[in-house]
Amino acid sequence: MFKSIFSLSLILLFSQCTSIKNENANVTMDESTLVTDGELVLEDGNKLYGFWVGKFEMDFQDEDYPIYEDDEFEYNKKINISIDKIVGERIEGHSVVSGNYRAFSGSIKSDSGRYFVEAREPGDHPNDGIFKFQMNDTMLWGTWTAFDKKDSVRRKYELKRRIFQYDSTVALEEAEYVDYKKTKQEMIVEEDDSFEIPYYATSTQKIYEINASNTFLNEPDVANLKKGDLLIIRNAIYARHGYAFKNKALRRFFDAQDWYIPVNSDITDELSATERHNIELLMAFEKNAEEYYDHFGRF
Amino acid sequence: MRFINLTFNYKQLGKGLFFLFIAYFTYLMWLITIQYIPINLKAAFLQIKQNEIKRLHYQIAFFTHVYTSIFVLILGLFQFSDCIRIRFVKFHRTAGKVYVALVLGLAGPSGLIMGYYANGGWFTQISFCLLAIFWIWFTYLAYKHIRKGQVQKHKNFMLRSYALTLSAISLRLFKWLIVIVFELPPMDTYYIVAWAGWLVNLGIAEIIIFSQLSLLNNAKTKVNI
Repeated sequence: MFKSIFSLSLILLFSQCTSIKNENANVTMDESTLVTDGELVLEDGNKLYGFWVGKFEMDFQDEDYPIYEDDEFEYNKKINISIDKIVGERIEGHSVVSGNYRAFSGSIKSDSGRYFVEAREPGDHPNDGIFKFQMNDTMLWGTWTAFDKKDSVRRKYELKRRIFQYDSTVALEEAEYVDYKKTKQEMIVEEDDSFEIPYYATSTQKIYEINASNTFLNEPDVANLKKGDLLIIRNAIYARHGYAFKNKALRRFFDAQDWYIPVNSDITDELSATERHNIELLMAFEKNAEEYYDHFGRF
Repeated sequence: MRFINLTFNYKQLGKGLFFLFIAYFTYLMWLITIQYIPINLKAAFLQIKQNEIKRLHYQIAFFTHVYTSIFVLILGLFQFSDCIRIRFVKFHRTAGKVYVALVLGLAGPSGLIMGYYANGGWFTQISFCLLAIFWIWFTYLAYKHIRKGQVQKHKNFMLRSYALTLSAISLRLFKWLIVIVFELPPMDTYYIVAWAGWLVNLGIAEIIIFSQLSLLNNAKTKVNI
């Protein structure tokens, strides 16, 4: 009896522990491939200029709901509409949403304290469309419709004016989509590239305690962190600089942070020496955690 | 007609299974070792040892340990076979001498230096330093005893020495089990396996030695009766 249990558990061990490391280990990197705006003309004192930030919500017009192929469903992205230049009745700006930086241009008309804007994106990107919004000194609201009629995607938004300023002391807030009833300590970041194979990266309370922008981290500070924590702590550095995340899970996580404004697609030049050091340290531990944490090889 | 002797020998079967078990994990250790060929100061474990690997003496200790310990592990695998020990005495002696030389001269001292720089502070540093000291000490005693012809004492200390050699495997195996079952954070896991990785092995070795002792005593009493 004992023998058979022993051999059975041996066989189990053999079948499970077959490699020393995770060969598919991959540190989640958010590639910055986007172009930044070259011509930004600001006229001081114009109260419409600047960032207008808020939720980019689905707006259903028809009775038949469109079928979503990705995770747009139930998750409202954060949009940053930037008004960059107004000359006469012509307006130029750009929007940052889903890690995409898209310029737009169109017309602006004023009527009794309100401004009416209609602006189009260039149209050379499959997700380009047309913005129609009104704005005053404090609010910007309206809709966006995709050029592609087949999609019939429409979105609405009510945005508030926000000043973006890098602040190294910003700490993470407990994000709103977290189910705290189920897991008191653990937060779940869903990375659902496919609905059939949901993958959960979990992070703990540590992500609220460790700020990698204003603290010089040493090995003992990060040695006990799991990969989910390491990932969030490192990417919070980018988020503080207003990095527009392309990675869905990270975007979803940081979009839920009130202070977060997606501004830039490349922030590498703006990182402080402390941040650069911490990123390198965290990356080493993330790579190690991905490869060895749940494998036979040494951590 | 000894080869058709079908007597089912549990002890032999257990030993055979254990041999396969250790051989398999020695193979995994081999895979870990070849990650460090050619010498690369950023490979695998060294990713998180960047502060230490800058020091030349740590580099020497680390690569000495990695490149020699694997042979200690492999050599030890054949030393406990009665068949080899009895029929190929010369092999047993030569392999044993290489084992002792590697542990005393290279793998042991380099392990001690690495133990001093272990991750996790004094708690794990003490564990790994003790491990290295006991490893060297037991191996030395085993050698000393066989030179004097004290076979039983030699056996016992070799069992202890090899139990500590196998901590390379048990430490990683325990770590893997803890992570799979409890999902503990990496450093908490490390605190546990730093000590359990060799104490458990040594405990098993002591049990084996003790049971053999009582078996021997029983045999003696039977003879007396």
